[in-house]
Amino acid sequence: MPGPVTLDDVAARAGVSRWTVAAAMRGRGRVNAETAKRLKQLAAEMGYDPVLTQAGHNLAEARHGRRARHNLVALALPGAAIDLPFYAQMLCGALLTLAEGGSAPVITDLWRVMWDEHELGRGQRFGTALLRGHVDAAIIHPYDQEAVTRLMEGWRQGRFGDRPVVTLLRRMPGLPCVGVDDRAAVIAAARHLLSLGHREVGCLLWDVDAGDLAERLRSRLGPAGFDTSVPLPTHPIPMEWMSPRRAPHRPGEVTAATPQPETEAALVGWLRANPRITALFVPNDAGALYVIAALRRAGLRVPEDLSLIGADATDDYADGGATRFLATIRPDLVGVGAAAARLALAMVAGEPGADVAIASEFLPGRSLGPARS
Amino acid sequence: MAKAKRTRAVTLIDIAKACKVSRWTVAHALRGGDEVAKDTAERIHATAKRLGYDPSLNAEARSLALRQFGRRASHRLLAVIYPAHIIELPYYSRILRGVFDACTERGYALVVNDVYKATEALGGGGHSFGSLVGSGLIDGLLFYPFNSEYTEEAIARLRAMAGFTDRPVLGLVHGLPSCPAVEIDTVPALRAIVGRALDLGHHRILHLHQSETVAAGVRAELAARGADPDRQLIAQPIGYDWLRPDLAIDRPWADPSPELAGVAELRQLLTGPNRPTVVLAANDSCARQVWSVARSSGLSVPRDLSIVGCDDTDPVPGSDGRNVLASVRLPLEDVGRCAAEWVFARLAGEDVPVPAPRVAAQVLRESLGRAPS
Repeated sequence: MPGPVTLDDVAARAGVSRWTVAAAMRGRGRVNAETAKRLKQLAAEMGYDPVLTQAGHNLAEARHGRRARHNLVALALPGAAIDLPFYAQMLCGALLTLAEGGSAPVITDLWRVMWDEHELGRGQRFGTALLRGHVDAAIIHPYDQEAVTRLMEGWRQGRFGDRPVVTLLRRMPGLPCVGVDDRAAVIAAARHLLSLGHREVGCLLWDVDAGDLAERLRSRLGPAGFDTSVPLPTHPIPMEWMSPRRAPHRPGEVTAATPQPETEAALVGWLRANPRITALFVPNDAGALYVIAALRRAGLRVPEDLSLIGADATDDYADGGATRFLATIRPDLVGVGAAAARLALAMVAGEPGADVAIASEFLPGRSLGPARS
Repeated sequence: MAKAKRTRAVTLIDIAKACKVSRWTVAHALRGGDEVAKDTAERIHATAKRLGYDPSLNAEARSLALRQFGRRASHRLLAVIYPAHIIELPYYSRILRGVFDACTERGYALVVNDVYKATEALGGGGHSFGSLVGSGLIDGLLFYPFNSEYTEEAIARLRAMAGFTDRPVLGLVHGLPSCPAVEIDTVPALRAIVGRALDLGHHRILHLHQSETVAAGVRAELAARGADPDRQLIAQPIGYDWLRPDLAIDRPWADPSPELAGVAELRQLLTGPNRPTVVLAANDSCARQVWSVARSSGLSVPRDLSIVGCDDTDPVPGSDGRNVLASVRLPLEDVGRCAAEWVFARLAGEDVPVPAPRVAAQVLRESLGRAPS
């Protein structure tokens, strides 16, 4: 029955003893240098990979210190979302970079891994043996921090031990994170708004770490030249408005968000109660597209009545003009995925992990117009 | 925290108990052969099905199933050879999503290899994918032959490796001479669209196509409807550059790039005497390019020219934000899912045929309108 190529296989082919092969591979012992070279070459030709056999594994671990490299990196992403450009772009960057680095990316669904740990017990599914013992590092998107913390505890106690874990976009205590730095991009957007005559902007927020977002935005508006002595006017945006799957132009999605007259009326009411707001930051592009549709239903036009800026560049809105319509802050998500892969590989090689931030870019668009007087 | 209930997979022993036979009998009945009386074997098969016996869920059954591929137990790893550099495009990410969903349900992790890297990796040199395959850790392979030469070479190398040999391999959407695929049949949908166009009064159709089979389908529909394909159909193969959504992603509705070959010819065709009034494009991105040419030629869609896409992945939002591009919806997730399930069925020892082509459906939207009078 074929299995991994072992030292015995190499020895049999070369017509020498197993001991000779082992000594040659280890580079110690009394083996003729010429023979050792020949054996190493033969082993390489036969596809001998030390980490895949027990003997070889021990040997490699002995050589490299505590553990051997397996050249496998796990990517744990929300499986139900990998077809969305937001996640697919990170996946793209990570896959290519890992492949460049000679590592194979293993992708798994984070939720299912956690579910299995709870429901089925250890080692039942997901090539968990691989995930636990054979991956060099993991890159995860911790969208549910509590669940990920629990998962990590399990991994740390298991064979995964203290191998490197890199998080995407969100910080987890004790783990290096590859995030985005939108400072320069937001300042550029704010300057653009100022040049168009806007003096007061509003911001839509969803529940999760929303206050933080408003604070961050304010800290960028100041340097751009906005008066930030008054608090930034904010209004909630329902999560459903922000689902890219429900964006009105998404093809084939039968469940385009149904208009929600009450929440829409609340938004329009808030805008009318704050007539000084002439431009609005929306936390993502899908949400911005929904808001445009909602405003249109209320008889308000973008950008004539209100300028609007999105935040992820994953949903464009081609309305027939010759240039981009929706202004947005574009995070370099392919770059984020690639940086996470590079960081994970560097940490596997023994380098310390540190946070990385990839700069975002301001994409102007026709959704920004002169402030209404 | 309440301890989660542990579930466990149905084993041979469970079936043996239910049928009041020995475990040996069950094992032999499920494996096939003539050691077990026919009616007993049938009863055992029925019970296994009723209990939800899934050989991929327990090690013993897995090793039983995998023995026919000459291997030991499954490691729950499925590999896919994929164009990683464009994985972010909805067409590719949706197929991958289907594969990933099926993997997640069955407890498999997915190793994603770039089509260009895979061939290299299988050439030896200690790349992780090569080692994974070499050591028999990969249970099966799916591929999207983005570059058929490279993919063909990768599969040939895979087949030559002792760790893989005749394990299940299947293509996604497109096959190779050496290997079939779960394909997509767009012809019925296109024929329906042709029928609709004729009903709307169109009598000159431009079909930009990638495949002679599809072109023949459109031609056949015209003939079947009593039209004269020679006079009423212009069928033209279209270059790859016209199909690329990435050219449009960041600059939608830009003028078609000047280096795009054939723009002048298309413009001439669309504005010349006896011009077509409806264009069936090879995909949605191609439809957008055609739209762009039409716009810059002073033609309004659909008043002067109807345009139909194909794949429904690259939307054209209308004034209310909804996609207005008539298209053919490809069952992309379904292709990925069916292909993965076929591999799992083969691994479980079932002799299942390659799934029949998935049938696409027409999506009629505003861009297909009445013929200009």
